[in-house]
Amino acid sequence: MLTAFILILAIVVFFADFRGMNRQSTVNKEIVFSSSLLGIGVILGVLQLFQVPLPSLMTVIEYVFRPISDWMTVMLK
Amino acid sequence: MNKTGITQRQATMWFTLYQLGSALLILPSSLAAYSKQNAWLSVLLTMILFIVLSPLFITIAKQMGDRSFHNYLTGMMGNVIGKTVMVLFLIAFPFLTFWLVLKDLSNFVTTSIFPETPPEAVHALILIAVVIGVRAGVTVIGRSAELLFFIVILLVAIGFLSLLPVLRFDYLLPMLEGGFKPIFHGSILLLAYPYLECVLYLFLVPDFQDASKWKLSLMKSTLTSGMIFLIITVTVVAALSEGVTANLVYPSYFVIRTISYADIYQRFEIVVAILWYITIFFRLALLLHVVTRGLADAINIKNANKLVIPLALIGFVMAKEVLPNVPSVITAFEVWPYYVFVFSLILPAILLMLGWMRRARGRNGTPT
Amino acid sequence: MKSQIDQQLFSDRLDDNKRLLLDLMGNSTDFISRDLKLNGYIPIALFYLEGMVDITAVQEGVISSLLDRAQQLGGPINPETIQQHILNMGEVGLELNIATALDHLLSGSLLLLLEGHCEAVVVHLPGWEDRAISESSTQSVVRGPQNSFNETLRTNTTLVRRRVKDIRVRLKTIQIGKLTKTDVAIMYVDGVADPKLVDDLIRRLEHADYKNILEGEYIEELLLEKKQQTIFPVVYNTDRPDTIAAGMLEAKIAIFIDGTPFVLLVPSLFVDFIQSAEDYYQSYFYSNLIRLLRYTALIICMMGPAIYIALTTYHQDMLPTQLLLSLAAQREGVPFPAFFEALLMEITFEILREAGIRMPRTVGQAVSIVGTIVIGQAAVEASIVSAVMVIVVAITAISSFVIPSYGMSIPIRICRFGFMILAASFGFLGLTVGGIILILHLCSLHSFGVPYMSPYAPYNKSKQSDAILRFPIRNHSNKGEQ
Repeated sequence: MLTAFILILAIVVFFADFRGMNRQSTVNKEIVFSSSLLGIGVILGVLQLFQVPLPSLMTVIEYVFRPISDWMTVMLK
Repeated sequence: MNKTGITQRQATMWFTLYQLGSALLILPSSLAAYSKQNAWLSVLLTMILFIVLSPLFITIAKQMGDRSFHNYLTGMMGNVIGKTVMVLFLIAFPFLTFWLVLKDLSNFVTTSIFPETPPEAVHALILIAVVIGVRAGVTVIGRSAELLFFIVILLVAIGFLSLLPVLRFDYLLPMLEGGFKPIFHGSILLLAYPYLECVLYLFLVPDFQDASKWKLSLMKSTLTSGMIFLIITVTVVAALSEGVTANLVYPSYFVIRTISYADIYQRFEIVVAILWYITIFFRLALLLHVVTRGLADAINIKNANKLVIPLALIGFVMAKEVLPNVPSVITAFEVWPYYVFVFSLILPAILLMLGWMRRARGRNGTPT
Repeated sequence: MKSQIDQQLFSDRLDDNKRLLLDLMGNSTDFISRDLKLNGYIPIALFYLEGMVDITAVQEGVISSLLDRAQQLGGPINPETIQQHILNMGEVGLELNIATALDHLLSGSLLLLLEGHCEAVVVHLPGWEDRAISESSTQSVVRGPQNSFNETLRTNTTLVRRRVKDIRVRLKTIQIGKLTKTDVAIMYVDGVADPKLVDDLIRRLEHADYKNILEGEYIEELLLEKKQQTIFPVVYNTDRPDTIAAGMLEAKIAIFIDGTPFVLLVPSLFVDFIQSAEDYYQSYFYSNLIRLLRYTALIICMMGPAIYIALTTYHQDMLPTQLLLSLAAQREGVPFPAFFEALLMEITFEILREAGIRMPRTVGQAVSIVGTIVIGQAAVEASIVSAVMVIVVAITAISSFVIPSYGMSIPIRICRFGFMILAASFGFLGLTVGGIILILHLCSLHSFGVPYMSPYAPYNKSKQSDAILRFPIRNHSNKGEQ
């Protein structure tokens, strides 16, 4: 619920920034990239709102590094 | 005076506050879990190890000259590889840390202070400040660090010195009970989090007047935060005993809670929370700054400010996703140091070697 | 019509000139014209604005010297001889252009026109009624000079000149405003003030395109940079000459505006608004204590109600039990949450404060009784607000008067409401974030190139002798000496 509110707020603030950008006739790249990043953020947020489980980097990290950690713990006991 | 730069004093304070950030609350517990009552010895060992490892970063800083980290990277590895490595690095290290720190903060607030607050609110509030800070730029954050540093030190002093009467130094004995190994284990953790994150400070090298000032900032900040950290660890363990410390999630918060003199000087653990908020702000600010500037350099945009809000939004969303609950944080913590080593030891070592190879080639007449 | 006059010169026929001038001035009743005959036969006409010129000087100086000396001189009478040999008072110049001559007339000069010559003699003899030099109305000190500026530019610059008697003191005057033609003067110490800043200021003032300048605020807004939006004052104003003199010694530039006793100082930093001239007029030990008090008052003023709201809403456990019980008892009958209570009282107090400034003196007593006793007491007894709330608001309000500069208390009052909202939503953590945002904002400001928070940040060691605490004068680096 709050997430939705924040998403909308972020989009609004971004548009305010966007208009500033447009007026200044900045490079296209800036607009493209920042909008696409915003798009990613919004999509992720919406997914989260719909309770879609998003992949978490931490599970991968833990999986990979767990052996090392266990080995070190044993070594340093 | 370089108007858009940062002075050595400001950077030192910023780095110190950065290091105090997450470490303040969580580390005494993990340290005590590994090295028990010798946790403070782990702190000392970490300092020594860091001093030994620091030439790694200082040399890179010198090699960077006044290039940005991105330019340095692409200079070493070529354009395509350099940019890919850069982007992967940014997402995997600073950005991930950003999410973790946010998650940490909301965990703390929702478990200890305001249980009824939704974590998004906590994220949103601090993110507003962080976005304003990062958009304002490094100079402004540096000046704010100068101002807030003294408040932080004051609060630490008030908080932890008030515990002096209840300290029991016998809780710190026996020393070296389990031998050297547990201490080393503890210092690995401390080294990785937060000291080896100094690889991120390399992103600020161009803002200094020259690289030797960066070295000074690095060393001074490490020593300062190390000392403060030592005091805090000693105080916490001496007040609570190592068993309790290892079992609590937020021992420094809890220990301040135990202060109670004359029915009026009591229950100001919120002071620790304020302290932590301020230091976390500087941590998040540096992380977000590194990510935005790095990304902006990688895609060749001049004004990194446009990227701040989208990236902050992604951070806001991902912070909830990254770890589901508090115990998972503790288990993740056990593997975290080794993950950090990849980025903060292996990567810089590779860069250094590439740098030497290039210089050697250069001496043979091939232009670098 | 105006552009026609701009280029027009006096003719050499006195009657034509007279008719033209009377026409241009629209036969205003305070525009006096007087005909004389020098040596019995040379027609001369005097023009002045009654009330603007010093009548005594006109009569005893100009007219009598014209009538007497002209005879003694013998020889031909023309504007040069009048200027150099006859007139014995005032600043005398010659003018061909009608518009310029009228400008001088409107600023308190006398115009002399001779038959057969197209040069007018302009005698500058200002002598209008003005307020006597009195105490400062907004910034008083216990020990120290009590005179303050009044509305005449020359009086004000003289008051400052008397304090900085060095040949390096420079004064440059510009006229701004198409209708008001206000004299704006810049004063600085050459060699101490930054010459680039001086040039920049003069350039900005000369390019000002305003129809009328009535007070310093117009100039202030002119000087502000468009990119920097802030509620915090970047230009200091005061009506005390000693503060201005001290500022000039510290490499600042003073801007005087004719018609207002408030003089601007540029560049101005955050510390300038928290310091008072009196810090130097009392012993340093006492002054440092007072300064610490002032900083405490600053924090109370900004965060007082917010802390109260945070404590009573979220952090009740921080209060000692006794206090908590009595607070709870007081708030028992109050139907509103702490935030609403605080908001209500704050707004009421702002209304009272504003009314206090505007109301006529005769009604003052009655209204203050109404304000304090009726509203305060009655509101508590009606259980609309709690007694503690009234105390908090009162202390906050009084703390805001400890800040010497009125210009700084305004943004602080505005911030206070922001902090109240944050405290009501997030307790002390909200206050912390608010504090961080405030500090970020302050650190991002600069006043004409100088970072606003100097000398705290960026840290400037040599200037620390007068930053938070004041060190004894012996330890100060010499001011104004290069």
